[in-house]
Amino acid sequence: MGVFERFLKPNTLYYPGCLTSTVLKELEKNYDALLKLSGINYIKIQNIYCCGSPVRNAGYTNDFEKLARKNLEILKKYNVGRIITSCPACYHTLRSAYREVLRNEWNIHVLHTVNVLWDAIENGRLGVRETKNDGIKVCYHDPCHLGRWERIFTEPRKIIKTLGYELVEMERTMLDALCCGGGGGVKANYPELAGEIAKERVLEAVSCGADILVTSCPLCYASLKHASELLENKKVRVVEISQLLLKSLHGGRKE
Amino acid sequence: MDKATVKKLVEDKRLKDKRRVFDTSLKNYRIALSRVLGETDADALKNRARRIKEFSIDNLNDLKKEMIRKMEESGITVHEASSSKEAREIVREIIGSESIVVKSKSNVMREIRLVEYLRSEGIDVVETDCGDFLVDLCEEKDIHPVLPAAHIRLNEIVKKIRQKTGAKVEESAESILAFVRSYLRERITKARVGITGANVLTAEGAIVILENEGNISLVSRLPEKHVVVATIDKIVPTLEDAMVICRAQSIWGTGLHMPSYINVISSPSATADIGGVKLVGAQGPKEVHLVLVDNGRSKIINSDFREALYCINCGACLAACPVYGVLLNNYGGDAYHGGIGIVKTYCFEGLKEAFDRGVYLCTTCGACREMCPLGINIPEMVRKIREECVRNKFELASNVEMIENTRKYGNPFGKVEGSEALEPDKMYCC
Ligand code: SF4
Repeated sequence: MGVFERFLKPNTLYYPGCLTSTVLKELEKNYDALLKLSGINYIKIQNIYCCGSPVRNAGYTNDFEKLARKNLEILKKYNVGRIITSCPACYHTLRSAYREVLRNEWNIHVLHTVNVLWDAIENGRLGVRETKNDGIKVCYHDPCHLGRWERIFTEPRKIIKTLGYELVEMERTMLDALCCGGGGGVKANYPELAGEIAKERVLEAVSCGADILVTSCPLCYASLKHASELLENKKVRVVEISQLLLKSLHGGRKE
Repeated sequence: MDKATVKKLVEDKRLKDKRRVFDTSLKNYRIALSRVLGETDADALKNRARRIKEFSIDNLNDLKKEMIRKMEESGITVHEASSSKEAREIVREIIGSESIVVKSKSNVMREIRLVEYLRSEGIDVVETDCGDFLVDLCEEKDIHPVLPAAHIRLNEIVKKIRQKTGAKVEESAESILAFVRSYLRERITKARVGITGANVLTAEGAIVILENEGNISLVSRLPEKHVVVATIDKIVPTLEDAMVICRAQSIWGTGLHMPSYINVISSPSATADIGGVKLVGAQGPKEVHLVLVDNGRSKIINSDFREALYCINCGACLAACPVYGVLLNNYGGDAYHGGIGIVKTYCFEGLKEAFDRGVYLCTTCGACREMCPLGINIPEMVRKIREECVRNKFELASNVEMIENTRKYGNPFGKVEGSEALEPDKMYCC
């Protein structure tokens, strides 16, 4: 790519979101690996701000608008035309909430990693290793921000099936999916309440007979995993979808 | 609501037990609902209901005028009440010197705290809805607009019946019902004032009330005076529109295609069979009064909270709500529970009350909106109330920390050196 092209062609940004980049760093590494394996050229921006999802949901609207504007400026500076995020809350915020406050100024295309990775698998850019997952039952927990608020239901399920797992569904799924209990600031404000809801969700996974409960959201993942530990549940393993993918892509890389 | 209160509620053994009992009803409801929805063109019905409500709220003033004119023509007395207090006083005046009134289930009566008020005035108020009657008897609180007593165990009910009436009742649903039926029948025939709510009012002058138990028919027909307490947002143009709302109410409220009964009342009872003269007060009531309650509603027609006026109180959103599933009626107001209850508490009682009743409990998961027959965007309204909270410094400690971190470091966590072991109450995300 020549200097000019590089300059003119808009960049793709991988935006992991604050929870992933500051707390669940291992997930960020996973997505870095998966995006690279899929042959996607992307940049990362160290000094970008929080997308503002928790800020907006807690009612700090002025702060939210400021964050959106500051981020827009940074994104322009880096000539970003496309954002890939692995966080459903960031996805919903960048995709829908930014449009509400920035209106026409916001024209950056936003994608979630489940779309991007499914696309890569479907087009053969991300080769799935011959799988020996027959008979392992996996259920998928729809993150609210990705499912109900953005209507993404099929891609993660296709990924699970492609990896050779048997897809099973919980009692409340897709549009009716039970929240992990952590959204809207509840995890931080009322951890016991969030925990109680997450336990209910884990038990739902147990009763649908799943061996693995997979989700595609860092907060759902952390909440459900925590609840599963509290329940001393040995039946269902809680994993994030990048872990499931990597396991099948590299000869069984550790989760 | 503060963190400690919520923690206590989550760990409360009695509440856990109620949840367990209530869960059965909720599960049955979900099964019934999904069966009925499978046999219905739900989207078409939702669209129709939504359009009717939008039109009705847009044209509320005209429809209201028209309705009042029609009703007065046909002999129904309409009393407009702008506040709860006014509404209570109007009802008090209609009751006059009667010492006993029978009433059916109604959310607005709870909203205006009518029963407490009438009882404080020395009037014997008898709940005739089976669930409400049991809640009253057991000195409990209702937990659901359609299933108010579904959390009370049978042995508790039997104990209370024996304690309070001396009646010996077996610990079976049938036996309890037989007692309730004969006990209430006697009270209803004695009362000369019956008070009901209404599901829909029409600009053509009809009061429409659904029921499955049959008590509303009795309460609205047997006493001499029938008092209807209803809010202005219940008005729709025609009886056909009302039937659409009734169907939605039945399906999403109870999981049934239609209720056992739909009462349509458009005048006091009358006959012209004796000597050809029209006599008012034949075999039903002689007087019908409609107390039309505003209580802050006309103020929100053109606000961010307008959608709250579309609500038909079916309770479907509660069955979908993860937080209500844990906290039951502790989340929301006394009259309206859950997220929509928070919105209504804010609209009718104010910001402080909404804050105390759990405006920050909502996970904004959106399951309620998906479930709601009117597609009401409850999380969006909750966010708007939170904005108002921030403006007025009703904040939670965690949120304050989150926003300070974000302002200072550009991310809600501040300067954490990452580890998965981050305490849950530091997980400021989403
Ligand atoms: S908000 Fe919707 S689902 Fe909830 S009670 Fe009102 S109409 Fe029913």
